[in-house]
Amino acid sequence: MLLTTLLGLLVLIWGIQGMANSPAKITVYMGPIPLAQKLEAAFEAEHGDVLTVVSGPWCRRVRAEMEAGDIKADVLYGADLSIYLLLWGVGQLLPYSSPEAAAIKPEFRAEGPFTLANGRYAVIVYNKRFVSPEEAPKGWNDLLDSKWKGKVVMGDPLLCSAAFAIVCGLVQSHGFDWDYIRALRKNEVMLANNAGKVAEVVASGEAWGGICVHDAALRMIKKAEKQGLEPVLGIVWPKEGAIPIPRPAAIVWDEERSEEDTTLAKAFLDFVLSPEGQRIAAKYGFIPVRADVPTPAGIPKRIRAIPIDWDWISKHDRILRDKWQAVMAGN
Amino acid sequence: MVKFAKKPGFIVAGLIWALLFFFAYPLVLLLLKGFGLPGHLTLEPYRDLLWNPLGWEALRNSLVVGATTMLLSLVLGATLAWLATRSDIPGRRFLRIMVFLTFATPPYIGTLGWIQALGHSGWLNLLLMRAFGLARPPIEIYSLPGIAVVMSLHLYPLVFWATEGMLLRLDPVYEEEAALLGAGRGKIFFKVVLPMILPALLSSGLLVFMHSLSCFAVAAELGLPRRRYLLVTLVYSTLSHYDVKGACALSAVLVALSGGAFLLRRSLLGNADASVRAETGQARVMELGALRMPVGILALTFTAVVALLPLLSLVGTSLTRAWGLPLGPRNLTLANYLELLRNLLVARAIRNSLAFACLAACIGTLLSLGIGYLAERTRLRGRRTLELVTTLPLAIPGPVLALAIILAFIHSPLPLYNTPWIIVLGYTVAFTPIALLTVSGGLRAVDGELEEAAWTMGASRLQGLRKVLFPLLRKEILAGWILIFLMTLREIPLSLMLHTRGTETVGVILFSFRDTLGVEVTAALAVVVMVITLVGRLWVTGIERQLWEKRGV
Repeated sequence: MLLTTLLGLLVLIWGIQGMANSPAKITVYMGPIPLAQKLEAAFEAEHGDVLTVVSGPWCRRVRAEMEAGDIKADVLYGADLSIYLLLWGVGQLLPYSSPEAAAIKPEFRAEGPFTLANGRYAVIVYNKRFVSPEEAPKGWNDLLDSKWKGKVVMGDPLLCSAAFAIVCGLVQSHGFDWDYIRALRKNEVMLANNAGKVAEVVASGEAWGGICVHDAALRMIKKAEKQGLEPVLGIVWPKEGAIPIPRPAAIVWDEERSEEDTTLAKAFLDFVLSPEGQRIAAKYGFIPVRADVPTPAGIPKRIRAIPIDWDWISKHDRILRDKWQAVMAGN
Repeated sequence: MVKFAKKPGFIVAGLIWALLFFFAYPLVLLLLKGFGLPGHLTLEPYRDLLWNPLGWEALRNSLVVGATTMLLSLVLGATLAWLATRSDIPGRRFLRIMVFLTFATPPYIGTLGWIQALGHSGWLNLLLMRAFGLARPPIEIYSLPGIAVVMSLHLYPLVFWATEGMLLRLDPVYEEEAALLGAGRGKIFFKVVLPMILPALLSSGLLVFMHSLSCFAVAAELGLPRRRYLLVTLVYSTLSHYDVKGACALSAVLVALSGGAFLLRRSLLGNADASVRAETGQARVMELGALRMPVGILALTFTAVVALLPLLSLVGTSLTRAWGLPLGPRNLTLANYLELLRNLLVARAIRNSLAFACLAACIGTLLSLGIGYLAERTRLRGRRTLELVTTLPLAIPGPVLALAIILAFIHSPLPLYNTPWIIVLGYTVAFTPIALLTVSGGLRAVDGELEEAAWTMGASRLQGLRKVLFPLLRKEILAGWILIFLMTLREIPLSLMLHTRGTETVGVILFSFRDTLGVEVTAALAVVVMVITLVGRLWVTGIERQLWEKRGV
């Protein structure tokens, strides 16, 4: 019995040791998994097995590695601008302007050692089982109507950096005034873990409407349509403008990286911006930054957006969080 | 007491060094980070915490939820364990299976079932509103009581298993004597049974308390909608704003709370005496008489509802064609399961998770036996500290624990980061406390004279342990192993921070799929994992039976 157990353990240890793949040339942190898998396969079809892809929400991971003084990623792709601004601030990003940049639409050109790789917007979603398209809110201010009391959900800005940007965007667009948030609070707005989860909550009927990142809602709608079902969710592009939360990509600064690997990292960034990379991302609802790749179905050709100042948000993170807390305090 | 304690042998020394290196070292790094070290010493994160009204509110909420969860779980777990082992109610086997199912459902997705029933548009709330003509849903699940109830309905099996082992071992002589002396049933329970199972109750109560402090899933799903923050939600919030120092400071508060609870348990245990002299194998069964059926039906209905409600909603969700559609024959599909087959990563992740879970469970159980033994049976100096250090990681929320492990093991002397071993290490550190608290309650109650008798009669030290102590503790050892295994298989935050190419786990997939492929596919994966655990559980039960029956225990 003891012998069998020991033998079993040895086999187990051997098996676990075998999981460690030989390291590929460069490491890319990007999520979510199905999209990352597609991009990896497409890129490696041309370059061979050169990528180590770590998927899932990698922001916390990068922050932890930063604290340990050793960022393991060569390329970062996804999330939102906040982590890139943080890394830029400590000189951890390698400036690179891709030759593909010429094809990028003007609204996606950014200052700094990163590239905006996909468009993503905060929009209004509603549940069609409870709300008819005629009754659906047309803009941000309609959410303050008392008929939506306790029926609107949004991401918690304390727990989600995209939701934080949405709140800051709403504050900025109302002339740096918190009255809009105060009114939402008075209308008993509900909170969710993050800005993407809002789609799930609204579809379940726990809320009738919400402020959501467009791609999460679009994926849900597309899935229903693909099966010939009437989608539960409806998307409204607010008349005042949607709030842009673009997904950037960047190369991490690393003195020890070989010239060859840096070239490869640049090639991956070019690929993300290339028509093929953009088309793959568009299948997941993200908006291409190139003019020559069509936007996914269900997204208006010309998007009206509220300009938001990410730099201001990241510089005043603490003050803005405190302000939000003060506005939302009490039951 | 054992003599070798004064001169720690090779194994003991190795155990202590391993604990210091793998458990204490990351923890110390974490605490130092909260003070800005290495670097400039600063008290700023703590000052921020002190001035943050939300911090105080969260502290209060965490304490209220933790204490309520603990009390509810103790009452539920102990009562049901007593009914399952010492009473003659029908369906005791069924009850045990339900208890297992309750804990096997991952709270990350099981909470959905409670929301579907008790949320603002939950079917039960709608039913009640219609029945009584109410304008607002009568049950508010998004509240502190809601969090505490759902948490305790998920965690009471921890108490159940710890108490069950103890009750099975209890020598019925005491109860019989008390009965002969004319004590009533109630008196026998409170004066005889309760003191004997106290160590198990206190240990598992502490376990539930600490676990509820660091459990993010329920706290977020049910707390956030109405802005009820717990300390654990605040920890996640500081990390979302990249404030590592703040997260470390908050975790230090959680560690302090748990440490306090640990010491409280120690002082309460101080007077309790070991009272189990021997095992008879046949526990005394109390005949409930006329109460048998009503009590039995109540207990079975309760455990079944608590286990099956989240589970059925999980299965239902995994079969719907699109999230948000009402469940009905027209909307049923197996497409979500096919989606799992289509993705090669899923099979690999399940395989990886099973391997990690097995190894972590073996190491964790062995460690907890060793530490429990040192703490309860020897006079080794610092044995209590050793136990405390091993327990504390339970109070630290996943992402912060992962941060501590990354800080400790990214550089030399032992650069484990980006190897599979860091995941095994993470799981072991995170979940050994659960096995330790389950085992140490049992060790406390089994009299050390039993092993000593074996040694006196010429058995070697190992034989004494293997033939006498381990069989006596088999329920706890098995429960410890299964607990680590179950927790590991569905673990998310550590996995997200520690995985790399080739070592993706189920947790990584669960998280990523919910974002992209939807709740339906995630639920399908959760169901697959649950089926695997169920099969595994049956298999382990088979082995257990074989193992002990061969020895005639």
